[in-house]
Amino acid sequence: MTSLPSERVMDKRPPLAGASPLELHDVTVRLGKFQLQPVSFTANASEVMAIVGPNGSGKSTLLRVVSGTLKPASGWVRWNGVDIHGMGHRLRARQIAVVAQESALHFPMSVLEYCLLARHPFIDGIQLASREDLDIVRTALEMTEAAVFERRWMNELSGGERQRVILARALAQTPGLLLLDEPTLNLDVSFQMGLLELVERFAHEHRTTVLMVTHELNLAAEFADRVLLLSSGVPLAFGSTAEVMTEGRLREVFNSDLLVDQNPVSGAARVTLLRGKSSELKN
Amino acid sequence: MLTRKKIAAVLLLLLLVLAGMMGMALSIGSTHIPPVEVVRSVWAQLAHPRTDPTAEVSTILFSLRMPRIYLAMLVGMALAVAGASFQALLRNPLADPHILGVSSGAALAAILSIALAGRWGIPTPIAAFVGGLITIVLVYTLGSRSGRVSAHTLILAGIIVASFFSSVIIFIQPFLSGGQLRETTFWLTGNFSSVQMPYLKWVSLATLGTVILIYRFAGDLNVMLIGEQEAAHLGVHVEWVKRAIYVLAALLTGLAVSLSGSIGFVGLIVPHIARMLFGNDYRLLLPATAILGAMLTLLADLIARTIIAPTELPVGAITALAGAPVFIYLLRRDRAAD
Repeated sequence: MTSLPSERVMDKRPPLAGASPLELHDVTVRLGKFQLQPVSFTANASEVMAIVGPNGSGKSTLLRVVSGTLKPASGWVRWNGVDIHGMGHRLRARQIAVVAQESALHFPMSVLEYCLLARHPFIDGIQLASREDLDIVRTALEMTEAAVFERRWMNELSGGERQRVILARALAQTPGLLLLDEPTLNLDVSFQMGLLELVERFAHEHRTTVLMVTHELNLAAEFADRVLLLSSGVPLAFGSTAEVMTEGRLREVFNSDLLVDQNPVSGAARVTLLRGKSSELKN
Repeated sequence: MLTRKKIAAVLLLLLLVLAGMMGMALSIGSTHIPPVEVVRSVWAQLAHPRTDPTAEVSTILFSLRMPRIYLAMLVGMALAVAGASFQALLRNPLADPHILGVSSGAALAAILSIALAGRWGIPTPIAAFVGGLITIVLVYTLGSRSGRVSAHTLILAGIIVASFFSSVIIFIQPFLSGGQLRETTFWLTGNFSSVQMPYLKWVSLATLGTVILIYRFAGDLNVMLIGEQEAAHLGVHVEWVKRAIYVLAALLTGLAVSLSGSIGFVGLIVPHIARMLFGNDYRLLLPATAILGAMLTLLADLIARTIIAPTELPVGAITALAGAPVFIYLLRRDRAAD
C-alpha cells in the first residue's frame, strides 16, 4: 500500500497522558444463555490487540461492549478515563470507529457518499460536510487505495474493494480506538496482509488503539502486540502472542490437532492445522 | 458532494416549476381563464389583499380553484415527505405512507363517521385524524418489543392492522345507504373536492411543523440508510430517531388522509423520482420530495377534474393509474442496474 498522504488533516487529537487509554474492568455480559465471565485488560495507544477463540466464545460480544452498543451486566469500559457507556452517541462516535459485518445496502450510494457519512458525528444537525471533512475522507480513501473508485456505486464493488471502502470509512472518523470484527473475512491472502499492514501503520502513526476480533490465528500472531484468548465466555489467557498462543493451549481450546512453531521470516508464532482429530464435527 | 449552492439552485428551480403549474391549474377549468388574466388577478390580489374579490374571475380563482390547489399541494407534500421518511426508517425503498396502516385506520374511522352521521355528528376529517392516531399507537405497540422498534415487526403489524381494518370496512358497507356509499368510495380513493376551510389552517400549520421537525433528522436519516448497527457506530441514537420518525411520518400521513382520503402512490413514486434526480442525501431529498409531491398531486387533481368534465374523477384513481406504470418502469430500471 502507498505511504500516507496529507497527515495533518488526520491527526488532530491531543497528545495522550501516560495512562492506557482503553481500560476494561471486570466486564461481564449476560445474553440469553450466554455468559461472559469477568474480563479485565488495558490497551495502549498505537497498540494492536487481537481477541481470538472458537465460535461462540464471546469475541464479537466483547467487541460490542467496547463499541458502546451493548451494555455490560457489570463492570465498566473506560476510554481516556471516561465511561464509554455513559458517553453521548455522537461524542463516542468521534473517538471509536467500528468495522463489522455490514448490512446489505438497499439504496444506491457512491463510495464517496458512503465514506462521507463517517463525518456525521462531527457535523452539527443539518449542516453539510465541509471542505475539511472532504479532505479527511479523501485521505482515508487514498490510504486504503480506494480513492480511484470513489465515484463508483457501493453495490458494484468486489468483496475486497468493499472492505477497503469500509475500512476507509472507519479511518475517516479519525478514531482513537479502532474496533475490527473479522476484518479479513472473505478476502484473499494478499488483501488480508495488505489490510492489516495498513491498520498497523495507521495505529502507529496516529497513536490509535486497535482491537481486532479474528479467526485467523496466524494473522493475529503476526500483527497483534497482545492477544486475549476466549473460550465459551471465559478469558483463558492474556498477554503477548508468544505467551498466549502455545501449542497445548490452542489444541485444547480449539479441540483440534495443530502445530505451533515460528514463522521463519517474521519470527511470529505460526499455527499449522493437522489432519486427524479435527473439530467437533466428528465428535 | 452536496453543497449549499446546489440545494438552493435545485429548490429554486423546483419552486419556479411549481409556480408555473399553479398558474396553469388556475387557468384551466370549466371556465377558461387566460394565463395573462390569471397573472393579473393574482398580482392585483397580492398588491391589494383587502380589495373584495367580487368579480366573477376573482371568485373562480380565489374561492374555488385556489383552495383546492392549495389542498392538493399540501396533501402531496405531506404524503411524499412521509413516504421518504418511512423508506429511511424501514430501510426499504418500496415503503410508502400507507404501509403502516395509518390510512386504513383513518378510513375506517371516516366511514364510521359517515355511517353514523346522524347520531355522532363528528366531522369526517376529525374522525379520520383520530382514527389515524389510534392506529399509530396500535401499530407501534404491536410492532415494538421492550421499547425497541424493529422494521420487520413494524411492517408486519402495519399490514395486519391494515387488512383487519379493510375487512371491517367491507363488513360495514352493506349497511350504508347509496349516498353514504358514494361518499365512502370517494373517501377511499381520495379526493380534493371537499375543502374544509376551518380545519385547513390548523392542518396546514401542523403539516408544515411536522415536515420541519422531520427535516431536523435529515443527517441522521442519511446514516440510517446504510444500516442501524452502522448508524449507531456513527453516532446516531438509533432507537430515538426511529421512534421520532415513526411518530412524525405517521402523523403526517394521518393529517394528509384526514383532508383528502387515502391517495395512493404519491408517497412511493415521488421519493423515487427525487432519488433518481438528486441522489439519496436527505438534506436535499426531503425538501425536493416535498415540492415534487405538491407538483404531482396538483397535476393529478387537474387531470381528475378536467379529463371528463363536468364529471369529476377521484384523484386517487389518477395517481394509481399513472403511478403503477411509472413504478413498474422504475422497478425494472433498478433491476437492470443491479
